[in-house]
Amino acid sequence: MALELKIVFTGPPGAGKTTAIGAISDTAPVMTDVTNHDPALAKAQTTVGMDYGLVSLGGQEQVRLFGTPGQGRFDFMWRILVKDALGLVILIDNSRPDPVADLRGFVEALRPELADMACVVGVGRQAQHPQPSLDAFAEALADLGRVVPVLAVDVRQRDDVLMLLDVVLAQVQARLPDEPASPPAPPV
Amino acid sequence: MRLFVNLQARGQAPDWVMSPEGADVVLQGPGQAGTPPWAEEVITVADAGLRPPPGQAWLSSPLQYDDLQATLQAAASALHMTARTGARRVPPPAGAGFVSTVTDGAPGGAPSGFASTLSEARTLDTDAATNARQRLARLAELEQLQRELAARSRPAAALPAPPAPAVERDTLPPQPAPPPTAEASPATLDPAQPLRLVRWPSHDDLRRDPRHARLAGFLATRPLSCNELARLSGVEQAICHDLALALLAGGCVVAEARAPVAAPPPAATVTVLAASPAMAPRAVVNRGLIARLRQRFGLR
Repeated sequence: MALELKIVFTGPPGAGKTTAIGAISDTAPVMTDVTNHDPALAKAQTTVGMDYGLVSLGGQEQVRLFGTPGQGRFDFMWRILVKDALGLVILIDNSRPDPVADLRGFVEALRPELADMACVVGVGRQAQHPQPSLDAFAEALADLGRVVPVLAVDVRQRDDVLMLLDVVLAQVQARLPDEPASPPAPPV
Repeated sequence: MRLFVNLQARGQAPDWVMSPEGADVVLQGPGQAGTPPWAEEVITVADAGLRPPPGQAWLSSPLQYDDLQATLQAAASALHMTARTGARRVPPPAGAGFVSTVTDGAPGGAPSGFASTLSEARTLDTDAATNARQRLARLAELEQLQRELAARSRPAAALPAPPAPAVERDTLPPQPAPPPTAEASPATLDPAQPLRLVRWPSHDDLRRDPRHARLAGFLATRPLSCNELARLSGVEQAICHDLALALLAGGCVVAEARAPVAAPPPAATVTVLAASPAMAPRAVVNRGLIARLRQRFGLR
C-alpha cells in the first residue's frame, strides 16, 4: 500500500528552510520564491507559497518535505501544512534581531499542533552569532511549558539537517506502542 | 480556580496546593495591588482584552484549565532554573516529593478578586503543618544540593546519600502520605527508574557524544528508564546511563513514579492522513518504517 509521510520545515524568513530541504531532497526542491521587496530581509528572493521536496523510500513509500513561507502574515499556511505531519522542524536564524521571540512566535502559533507532534528546533548562524545561546532557547521553551530539542545547525550541511531529522524520528519512535523487550545492545 | 488547582495536583508533579501565604506562585486578579513580598512568581489573571504589559505572566479570564496547567508547569521550570543558579531558594525536583503552593491572592488585606476562594483554601494550612512542610522542603533541598555537588565532582562514583537529620524530622508533626514518587540520585541511578525530561539539556551535555541528542529526543517525548532508552535506541546501555547521570546532575530530568509507563494513549499509534486522494485514507507509522527512514537517510 502506498504510504506518504510529511515533514514540515518552518521558521522566519532567511532561516534556511529552502536550503535544508534541498540538502536532503531526492529531487531539486520545487520553490515558490519571488523577488524580495522587504528591506528587512537581506536576500534577493523569498518564499511566498511553499517549498517542496521528496525523499523516496522505494516501492510506494515516500516522504514529502514541505517548507512554509516565513512571514507571519502566512501563518494560516503554517497550520495547514503542519496538519498530520510526521514531524516539524523549526529553523531559527540567530542573526535576526530577536531570534528567541521568533521561536516563541512559531511555538505559540502552532501550540495545538505541537501538543502531539515530534518537533525539533534548529538554530542557524550560531557560529557567527553565538548569542542568544542554545540554552536561552531551551529556557524560553521551558517558560512556555515545552521541552523541545534545540540544536545548532548549518543547513548547508546535509549531516546537520539529518541530525535534526534523527531527533524527530526518535520522538516519533518513542510515541509508538511498546514492543516486547529485547536485550539492549551489548557494551563495546 | 481552586477546582482547577486541585485537578492540576492529581498525578502531576510538582503537587500544587492552595495557600494564603508563603507560596511559590501567586495568581493575582486584575488591578490587584500589593504583590506579597514573598512572591517569587506572579501570574496575573486578566480579561483577554486587558492583557498586562509584555513580559508579565498572565492568564486570560475566564480561566482555561489547559492554560493554567501550562503556566504552572512553566512557573515550576522557572523556579527550578533560577534556583539552580543560586538566585533563589531551591524547589527540589518533583521526583523528590516536594510540595509547592499556590495562592490566588495577596494576604495582609490587599484587595483580592478571589476572597471567597482564599477563605476556602485556608483549610490546608495550619501554622504547624506549614512550618513542617517548609522545614522538610529545606532539608530536601539541602540533601539534593549535596548530591548534585558530589555528583559533579565525581560523576561515576557511588556516593551514599547524606544521613538524614532524624532528630529534627522526629520533632515534626505527622505529614500526610507523600505521593508515589521515586528516589533517584545522580550517583545511584537504577537502570529501571523512569526519568522525565523537564528541560532540554545544555549544549555541553549533548556534545560529549553524537548520540546524546538523539537519546534526549526519546526522553523529550515521554519518561523512559535507561533500560527502555537502550532498547528503543539500540544504543549501548552504558552510554544511556552516562547521559542519564549527566542529565540528572544538571537537573534536566527528574525521577518519575515507578508505575508502569506506557506510551500515552493518544499517541500510541502515529497515524498520518493520506496526502493524496489516490492513497489509502490512513496509514500507520511503525518501527519498520522508522528503520527504513533512518537507513534511507544514512543514520546510524
